[in-house]
Amino acid sequence: MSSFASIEFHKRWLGWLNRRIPPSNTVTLSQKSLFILPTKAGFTFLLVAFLIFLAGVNYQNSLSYAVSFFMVSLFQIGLWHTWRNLAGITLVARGADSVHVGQMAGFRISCCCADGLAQQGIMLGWPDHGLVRVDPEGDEATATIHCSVHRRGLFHPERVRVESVYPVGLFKAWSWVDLDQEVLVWPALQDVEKVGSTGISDDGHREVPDGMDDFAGHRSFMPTDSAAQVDWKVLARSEELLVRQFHALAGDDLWLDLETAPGRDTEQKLGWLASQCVLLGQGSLVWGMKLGRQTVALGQGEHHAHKCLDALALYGSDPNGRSSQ
Amino acid sequence: MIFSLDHKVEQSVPVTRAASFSLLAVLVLVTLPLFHVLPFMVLGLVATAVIWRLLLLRTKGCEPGWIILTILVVLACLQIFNHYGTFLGLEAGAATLVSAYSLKLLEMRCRRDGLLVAFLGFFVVVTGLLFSQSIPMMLYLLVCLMVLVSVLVGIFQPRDKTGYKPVVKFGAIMAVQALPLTVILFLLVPRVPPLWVVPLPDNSAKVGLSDSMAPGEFAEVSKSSKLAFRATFHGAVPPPKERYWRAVVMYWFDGRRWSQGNSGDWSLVGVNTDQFVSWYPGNPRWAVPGGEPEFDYDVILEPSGQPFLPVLGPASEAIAGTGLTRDWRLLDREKVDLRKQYRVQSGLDEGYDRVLPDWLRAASLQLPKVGNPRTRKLARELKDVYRDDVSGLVFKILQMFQQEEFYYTLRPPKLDANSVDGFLFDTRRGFCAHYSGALVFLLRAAGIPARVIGGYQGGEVIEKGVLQVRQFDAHAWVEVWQPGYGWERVDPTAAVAPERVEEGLESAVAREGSFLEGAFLSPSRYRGVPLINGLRIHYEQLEYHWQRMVLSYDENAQKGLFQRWFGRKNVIPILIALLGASFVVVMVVFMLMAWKPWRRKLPPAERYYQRFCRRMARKGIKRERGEGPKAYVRRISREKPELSREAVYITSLYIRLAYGQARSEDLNKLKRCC
Repeated sequence: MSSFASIEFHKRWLGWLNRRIPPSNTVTLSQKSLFILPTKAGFTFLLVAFLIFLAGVNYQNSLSYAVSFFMVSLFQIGLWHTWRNLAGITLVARGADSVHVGQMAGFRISCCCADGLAQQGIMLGWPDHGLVRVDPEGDEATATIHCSVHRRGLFHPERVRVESVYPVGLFKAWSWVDLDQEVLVWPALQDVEKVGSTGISDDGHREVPDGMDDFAGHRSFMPTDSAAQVDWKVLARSEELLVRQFHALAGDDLWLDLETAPGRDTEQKLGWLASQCVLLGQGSLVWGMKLGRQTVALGQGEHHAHKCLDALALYGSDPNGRSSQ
Repeated sequence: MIFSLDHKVEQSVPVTRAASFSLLAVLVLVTLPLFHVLPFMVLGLVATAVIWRLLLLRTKGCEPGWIILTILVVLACLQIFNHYGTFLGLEAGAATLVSAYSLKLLEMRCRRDGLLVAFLGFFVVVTGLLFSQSIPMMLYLLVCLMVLVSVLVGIFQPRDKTGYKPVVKFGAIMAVQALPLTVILFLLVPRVPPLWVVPLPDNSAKVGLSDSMAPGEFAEVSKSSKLAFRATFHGAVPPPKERYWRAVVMYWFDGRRWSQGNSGDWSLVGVNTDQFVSWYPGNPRWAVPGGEPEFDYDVILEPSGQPFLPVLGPASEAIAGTGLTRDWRLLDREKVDLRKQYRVQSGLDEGYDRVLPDWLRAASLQLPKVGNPRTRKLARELKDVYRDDVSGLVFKILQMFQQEEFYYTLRPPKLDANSVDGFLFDTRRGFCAHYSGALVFLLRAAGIPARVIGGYQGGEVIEKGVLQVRQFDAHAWVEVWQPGYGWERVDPTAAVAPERVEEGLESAVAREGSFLEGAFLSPSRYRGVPLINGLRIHYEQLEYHWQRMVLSYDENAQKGLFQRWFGRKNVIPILIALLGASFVVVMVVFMLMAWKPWRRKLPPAERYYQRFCRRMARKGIKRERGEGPKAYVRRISREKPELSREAVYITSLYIRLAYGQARSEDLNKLKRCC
């Protein structure tokens, strides 16, 4: 029940934030988008000021009063300095590189100072993954902040937290900004053997491992293998769970096909294909890819690999739709 | 997501070099004024912490392990307890705080430790203030506070920056910015009386008057130029020879020392010491000096460690928190361990106690059973001549002091067991304590009740109506009782050295040059040098105003000030209203300073371009957020080709202006187009 309430609250909070600080790839922090509260150190500081006030009262010591009031004034000054250190900062999304599921996606964000202010000590990031410090000091500085991605497809990170306790650490000013960032997340990588690595066979066809055409031997069972591939006779003989391996005979051009890819479900097959693309991208082979009705034309090299990976990332999703976390 | 305010990362951030350096500086700075209070071992601990940390700053050595730290903690605790016997007294507290600061500084690893040390620093600064609130001390501690602020700044500096200068500068700026509100709060926050009893500074070792008098001790007091008290007169100031400030009355003589007497002494004459004091607001059961008090004055008494409150002449009534004694002095309920301010009216009338109670007569005639035979013989001879003529007898003795070879000196020869005999018949050299002691002895031996009064005589007028009395103004004189008249003040010193009474100690001992012997640095010693004396007087005036306006700004002073300004009895609502109002004003001022709305104006090129964008938006092509000028102009050309020419021209001008490749006429062209 309480978790339902907190989810509801979270939704409302996000809705409110979206109205107040709308998503944009350039956000300038204004008084509207900044929050500020004393830190734990700030409260401790006030407590110290209060104890000194008590000393002033009990010793009737005017200057102890003065020190206590000085601390309170400093606290107040700290509020404005911290606020000013964050106000006027412009954050610009500088894009992110695609990564595979399970890796950390790095988003580049540059942080520009307001006119004439040497702002520094600005922390950026997602609290779950640790914040990164940026010190633009009157100029512009770029930081890369990371978050882990768990789903294939177009990924929209949560709002980024921007905060600062500079200069005295008594207050923390912060904001949550949505820089309208996105990154294409490729399928997870698997540990695979590269297709085509065994070279050209006698009849002029390249042998493709894990194919279905030509029996090549046994290997031990992996959870991703289908039941049809198990060599039941061997199992009956030796209780060893082995899989019959075939080589496919490829034509001149190597085509990776979702339908023939090994794996129990689509995600695993996509993962296999992605891993192959990464490996193939490092070599000089020419390959194409068939994903159901979609075809990626033949090509080679890293750039082509990225094209294939992008297609794999978006497979099955509405090309215009957004899948966000 | 909203309140996830702390992160584990922060706790492991190391303390920056600038911050560690400032913390070291603070430790050294705050320890210096406490130097005489702290035990030797604590100073050693401070030195250890400073040196170790300096080595670490030079990246030598390693951080102390927990074994060393534990040993140091135990040593510090033992030493403090051994030295003071407690952790709770003010001095012990100061030592504990300084030790804690040093140890925490040694142990400091991460940012949180640094903050904790800085907060401890604020406490140590305040400890320094409890021992002294003079102007130099205040300026000194202001520097400490600035350094502490720069510690806070330094802790949050980027780690690759190691310079101290920008940090200290920023700290100083923040400290200065904090001053206006500090002053407002100082004036307006309602002052309250003490909430509970706290350990007070130990003044037992202070040089000053005490409740007994031996000639040697008195000589010590006259060597000190420390301030005793300042009096501000509302109206006339008495002439120098009438400035007799009574503090102690001494009845009991043991052959060497005159003293006020304890309950044992007084039980000899059958009275209880409790009956001697009438505490405010009760009425005393004995007659009090009547008549119109001639003088009305405020006294700010420096901590003396004694309960006496000096009053000019006999006091006639107790004021709040004090008691009036049987011999018309004022006593505080406690020893005066903090600076004390009081206002009294008194006069120099005398002649009270026309009828002397038997017990008081007995006390005023008390003498040791034996000793000083020559003095007793002289007294008998005088008695035989003068009979009941007390005035004649006293005059005869004073005449003897004046005409025979008696000298006033601060370097008297040593006296043996029969000290009064030795002084009167052999050495004949001494100061106020010798003369008054001898006079009282003679009078009592002749059957005339007399007592020794200890207090201050004289003082220096530093500005109109302000009299400053120092420890070397301490003086002793005599009160003699005559039937039918009562007590009368007699000052034998005035007979020997009239200049002591009229001009002060300095001229009395001018010939022998013993004034403030050994106190080479005391400015009072150089009154003869006009330049130094002028500076000294100016500084003392400043100090006087500092004391009256700042240090004595307490509950009553605050009430008085705001009652004068607003003419209302109850000042608390006024204070709270003013406090609220000034808080709003300060917040608004700082908000404007931080926000600087007047600086929001965009550069002209940007302004004209924005105007162009608004015009385009009216024509149906709104510039998207984050859309660059080039992308925007492409879109305009695509969607409204008829605007294309103008848009391309304006955009190219704007880009040239914005990226610093503009020609001189570009801005005007842009202005005309938009």
